[in-house]
Amino acid sequence: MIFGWLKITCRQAQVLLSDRQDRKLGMLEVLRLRLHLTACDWCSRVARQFRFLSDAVRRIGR
Amino acid sequence: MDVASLQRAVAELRPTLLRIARVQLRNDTWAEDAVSETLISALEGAERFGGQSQLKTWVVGILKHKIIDQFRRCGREVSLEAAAEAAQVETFDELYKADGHRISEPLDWGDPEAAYSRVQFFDVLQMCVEELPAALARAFMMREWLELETAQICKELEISATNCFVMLHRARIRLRECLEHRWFAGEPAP
Repeated sequence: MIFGWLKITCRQAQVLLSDRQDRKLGMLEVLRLRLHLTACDWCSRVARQFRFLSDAVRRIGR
Repeated sequence: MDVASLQRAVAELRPTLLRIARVQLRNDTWAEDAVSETLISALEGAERFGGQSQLKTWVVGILKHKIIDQFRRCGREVSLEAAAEAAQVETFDELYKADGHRISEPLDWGDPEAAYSRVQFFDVLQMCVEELPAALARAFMMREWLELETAQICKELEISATNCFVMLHRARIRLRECLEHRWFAGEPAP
């Protein structure tokens, strides 16, 4: 596959999903992650859950 | 609010503050110190605060500063724990390179924000953070609750940026799983 180098595993995608909350991702990382998320419902769920987790923790003590 | 009811309101926050301090400092004495200092500062400046909800936000804000002060004071021990956790990170990293494709299906959490209206949810969330290894919980809370920048967390914990990202990732994966098991998988109807 020509674009094989863009393919990442779910594990790698979830590392990027976490990392993007802590640092700015590189262009290649953004591209790989976007492509993965368009094809993967599981990681799309995790993406939303990670965002929710940040928001929920910020509410502790409020 | 008169002085007596204000003092009472501040004192009533103590258990909440202590639980939050404990999960980050993982040392009862340090947590007690941070909370006592918070309550003292709060009482000194409390007359400026009228509403109770505003009071809580303000007191929690003071606690955040006191926790950061406490990290600085006991920096050596905190960074040793982080270093021990970071040393395990490499083996973990190798481990998941080996089975990169296998993850189990995450549940659909529906509308997770609906959980905010339930007090028990925050209890479960804090329980999940408490169950993390100390260094992971600390890094995660520094990032998400104290809202520190990653560069500052690396500096406080004396770990590399890469290790810091890996620790945060591990914390999020575990918390996601914990919330799924303890809350979203068997959530009783509201």
